[in-house]
Amino acid sequence: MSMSTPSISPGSKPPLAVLTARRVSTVIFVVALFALWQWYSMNMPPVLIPSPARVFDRFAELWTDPRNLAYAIDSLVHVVVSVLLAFVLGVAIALLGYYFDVLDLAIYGRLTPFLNSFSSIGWAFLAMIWFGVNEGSVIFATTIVLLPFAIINAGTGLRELDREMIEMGRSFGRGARRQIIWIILPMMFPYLFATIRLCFGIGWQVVLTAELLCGSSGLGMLINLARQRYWTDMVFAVAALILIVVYLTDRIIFAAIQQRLRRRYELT
Amino acid sequence: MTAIIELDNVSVAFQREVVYDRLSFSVNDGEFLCIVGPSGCGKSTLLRVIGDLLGVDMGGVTVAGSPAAKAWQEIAYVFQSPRLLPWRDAEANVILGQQLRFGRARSMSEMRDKARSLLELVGLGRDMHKYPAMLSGGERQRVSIARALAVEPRIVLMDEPFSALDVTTRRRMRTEIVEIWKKTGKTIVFVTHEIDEALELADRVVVLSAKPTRVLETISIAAARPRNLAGPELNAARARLSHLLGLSGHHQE
Amino acid sequence: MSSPSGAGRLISQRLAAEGLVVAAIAAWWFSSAQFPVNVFPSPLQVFWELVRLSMDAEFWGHAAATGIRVLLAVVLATVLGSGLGMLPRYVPWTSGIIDDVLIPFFTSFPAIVWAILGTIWFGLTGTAILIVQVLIIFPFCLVNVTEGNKDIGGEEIEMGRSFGRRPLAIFWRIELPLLAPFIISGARISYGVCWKISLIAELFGGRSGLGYMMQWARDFGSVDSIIAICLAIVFFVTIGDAFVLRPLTRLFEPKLEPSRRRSFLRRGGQGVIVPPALEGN
Ligand SMILES: Nc1ncnc2c1ncn2[C@@H]1O[C@H](COP(=O)(O)OP(=O)(O)OP(=O)(O)O)[C@@H](O)[C@H]1O
Ligand SMILES: [Mg+2]
Repeated sequence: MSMSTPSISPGSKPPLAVLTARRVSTVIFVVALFALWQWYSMNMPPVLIPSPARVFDRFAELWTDPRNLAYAIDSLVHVVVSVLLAFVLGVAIALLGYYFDVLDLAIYGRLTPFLNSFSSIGWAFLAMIWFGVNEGSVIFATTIVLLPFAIINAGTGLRELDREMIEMGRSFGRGARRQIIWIILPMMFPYLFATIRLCFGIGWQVVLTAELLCGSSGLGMLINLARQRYWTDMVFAVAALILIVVYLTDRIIFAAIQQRLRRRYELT
Repeated sequence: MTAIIELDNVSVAFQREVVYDRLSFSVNDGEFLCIVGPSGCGKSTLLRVIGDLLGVDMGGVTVAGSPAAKAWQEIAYVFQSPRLLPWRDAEANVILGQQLRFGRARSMSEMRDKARSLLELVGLGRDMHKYPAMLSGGERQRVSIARALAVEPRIVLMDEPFSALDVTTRRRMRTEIVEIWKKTGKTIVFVTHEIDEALELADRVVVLSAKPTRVLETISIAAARPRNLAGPELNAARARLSHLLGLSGHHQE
Repeated sequence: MSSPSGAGRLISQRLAAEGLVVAAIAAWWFSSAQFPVNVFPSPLQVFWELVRLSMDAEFWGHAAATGIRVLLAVVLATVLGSGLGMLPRYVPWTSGIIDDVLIPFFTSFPAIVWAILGTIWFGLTGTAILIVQVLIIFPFCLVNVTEGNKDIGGEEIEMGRSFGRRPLAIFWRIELPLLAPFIISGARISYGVCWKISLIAELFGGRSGLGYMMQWARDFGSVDSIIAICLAIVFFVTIGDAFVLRPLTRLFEPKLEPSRRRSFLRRGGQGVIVPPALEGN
């Protein structure tokens, strides 16, 4: 390992060189993976390892077949609705705990640990029995699985609100509305955003499971169908689609927003 | 001299711990008052009580002729850490204090002018659009001083505002705060734990004891500013202060 | 905000907490009366089902199967995740591969797809389930250790290097202790997720385990069994967290800076499981 202390030498060459070396090795790694997959799939029955080409065909089919596209859109809707529900409920419960100190133990010592360790499959099964095989079940199961994450994250945000800042605000003015608009909400914002981002990431996982177990539509159901018929290539294609969607939304949209937030809220 | 702040037999207790038991003293209008005392004796708490950030259990606090709860408009704070909002630049942070206090009653352009002239006053005329992260410790504290002055308080409460700064910056800031005080004619209540700082700045020094806190002594310093800290009058005052603080230290044990 | 005295505050919080539990059970009781037993059983029925299960050797067999697998999976995933996470320290060119390929791939790869592929590739065996579980949970550890790696600045390491250059000694005495809190926290998250999510692996791939048992209960439509098994799982998770993982976390806690400690572990007393996986970066 070389000493990585940036020397005083001017120009941006050293970091750039490191960056490209890093990138080159990454690209080589990915290419090697695909080559390995291609080679391996040639020696294996497609039920076990479908070739990249087959998977790509299926992937294209996902987009061209309107029924499949509808499944993908359904899943997206399930995720968005559940995340929003869990977010609103979670923030409301966390706010309750913030303003009513007595509820602290009830929320963080009873409710969240319980929800947190309750099996997500259990929720999916119960939803199916209670509400039947439909979208409502999927959204119920997903929301309730996401809820503890939302509560904990929002609660942490509220608890870590800088008391000194709040006192500073109070020393300048007593209007509650002004405090909330100019100090509390802006201070909460990074946490609220992180909560949404976290829920969105987990939400996909949970929605797929719920759709598979109690859904009438969505990619989870498609995967189940593919599983029962041994369309391994379809399973791969759906996985690829989800990877791409989650990666793009998280790394490009969310990360960019969060980066800006972080720069804005950076404390020294 | 008339008293602008008066504490009359004030008692404050946290849970089981009594911080003050019938503490009384007053601050004169326009004076520079320093408060010194052992750590944990309740200096910060005292400022909170004066600014009505904390209620008292007993006794009365009068600020500018009315009870403290009604007089918070007369007061502005400079805290130990600058407490600037990181997402606002220097100017916007100075504006924030005015927004919180005046809301719509003061127009945005008026607030901005005020902020500019005060940043100018504290020597940050060229850094108005820097964010706190880009400012040095001393500059941040200047911004928070400007923020306090911008709401035109009659009283400025300062809680060890320079203790986080390095020695040179601290010395420079002391000189500046005296200048600002002379220019603006505010009443300043200044908490410090450094005897020399109190000697350099104060008209009067209030020495507090360890808990339960009372006023050990009030020392007046008449020497003209800028002061020669090695002069005989200040030497005598320093000896007295060291003695008092050392004594109260023994009390604690 | 008024702050009532400490003891009174604790008592009222306690009351509110137990009140919530009682109210929840009461609400369950009343609402269950509106529905048939095979849709929404009453707490009492679930309680008796729990009693029955606790005396049923088969249940304990399944619970042991799941428990052992979870334990093994957490250990394997922790080792794998930490190993991979620390790799860039020694082989710098791997950092891009781990940051930009492995982490995004494994954190966003759907768990159920692993479960399905596991049964396709390895058949209906316990090993298949174990592998699937490791694949599902090891990214949590990987992410944590990678974050930790970036976090434990060069300072301490440099200090170590100033005293001697034996890499092994530096690893054991400085790097590993510094990373330990991150590793433990990764293990703790993995443990929760493993119980919660990776039971899926048992749905498709198992002939043993609580997931399999739940599937079975569902096929027979015995809701009370499903709820009882879920409650048993809540119990197991809590026990494991309280008696193994939390003490471990405490053991390594002082090595965290205060600011960090706050965000990881809030006032002890509950199994807080937030994957920083998706929270950070
Ligand atoms: N919110 C609070 N709850 C309980 N005790 C408090 C609270 N605020 C202050 N105290 C206690 O009151 C006493 C006085 O605190 P204060 O911060 O006023 O001391 P100080 O004189 O400013 O000390 P320092 O010189 O270290 O800043 C301390 O013993 C402190 O522990
Ligand atoms: Mg103080």
